[in-house]
Amino acid sequence: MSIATSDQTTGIDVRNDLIEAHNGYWDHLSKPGTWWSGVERVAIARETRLARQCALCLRRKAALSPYGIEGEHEDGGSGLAPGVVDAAHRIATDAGRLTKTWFDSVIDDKFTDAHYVELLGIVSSVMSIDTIHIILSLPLDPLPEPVPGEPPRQRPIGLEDIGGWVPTIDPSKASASEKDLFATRRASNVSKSLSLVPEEHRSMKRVLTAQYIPIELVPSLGENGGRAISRALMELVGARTSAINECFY
Amino acid sequence: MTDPDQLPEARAAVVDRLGEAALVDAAGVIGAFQRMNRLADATGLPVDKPLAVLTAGLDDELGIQGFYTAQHSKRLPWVVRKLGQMMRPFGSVMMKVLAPKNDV
Repeated sequence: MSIATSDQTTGIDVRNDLIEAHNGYWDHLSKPGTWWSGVERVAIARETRLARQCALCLRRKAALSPYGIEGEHEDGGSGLAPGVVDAAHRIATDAGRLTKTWFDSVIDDKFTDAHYVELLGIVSSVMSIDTIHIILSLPLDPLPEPVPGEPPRQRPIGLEDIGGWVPTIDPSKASASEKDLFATRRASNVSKSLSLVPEEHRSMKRVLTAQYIPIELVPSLGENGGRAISRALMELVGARTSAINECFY
Repeated sequence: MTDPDQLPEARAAVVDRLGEAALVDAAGVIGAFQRMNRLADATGLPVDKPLAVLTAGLDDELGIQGFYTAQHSKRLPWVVRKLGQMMRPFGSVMMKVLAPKNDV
């Protein structure tokens, strides 16, 4: 692979584990999920990319409040319901100003909280992978061809309310098939955020391990997982990213 | 840096000073936090209580109470915030003790 620096093109080696994790994600994306079909999942990924150039999203981002700006998103003609497209675009471009009122307004019998969590897993994954490509001046990976099949639409058991908008699995009450999600009975809130859709949680863990550090090393602040920058620098970069995104968590 | 036009210069600076592997790893961290920020904000998650206590006061110092997403987490009582500030020198040790093995 090569990257363009200030005035020249420089060859750069991207870690194999990072490339493999990203390729693994696109494979995961192409298949039927738990609540969305492969076609719908790839369409949500496409909307995530379109959101960056969507005129409505740009106007909302610039506005004092995004909720006073009406209009239609520049969608990809995917056939996704308007509320689904709106969710994908808002999460991609202005997640820091989402509200419980907005969340309640888009959730209904067809776009359930579980559909929302799977969509969130897709949007956040695509944003995450594409950001790395943009930083390294690499072309974006092409979206995969959808794999046919029906999603099982199955809710896990052992759900609890931790004060957010969606229920999450209580690690101490997880069923045998979901015991692998958490190594212990305690887990941070953000690490449980996708657990309503266990397959999205597993996918998140696989990619995060390659992008950041192995999950089990996170609490050990002296560990950098063998990366080329110190853990302190990694946390500084992460904190700066969060500040730009105005993420309080 | 939020201006894409500054990206080539910033990229070159990291490569020149820290090397290509550092650029890849820094990009990985940014990508990871792009994801985790969205997971927290798009589900209205409150900050975990042990972490909130250990970092009490930092939010004021950093000025992040003005973030829209701060409203997802209840502000701790004054006494608890003071206690958290007193415990801060031991923060990294307490993080290791309190945090679960698979935490993110």
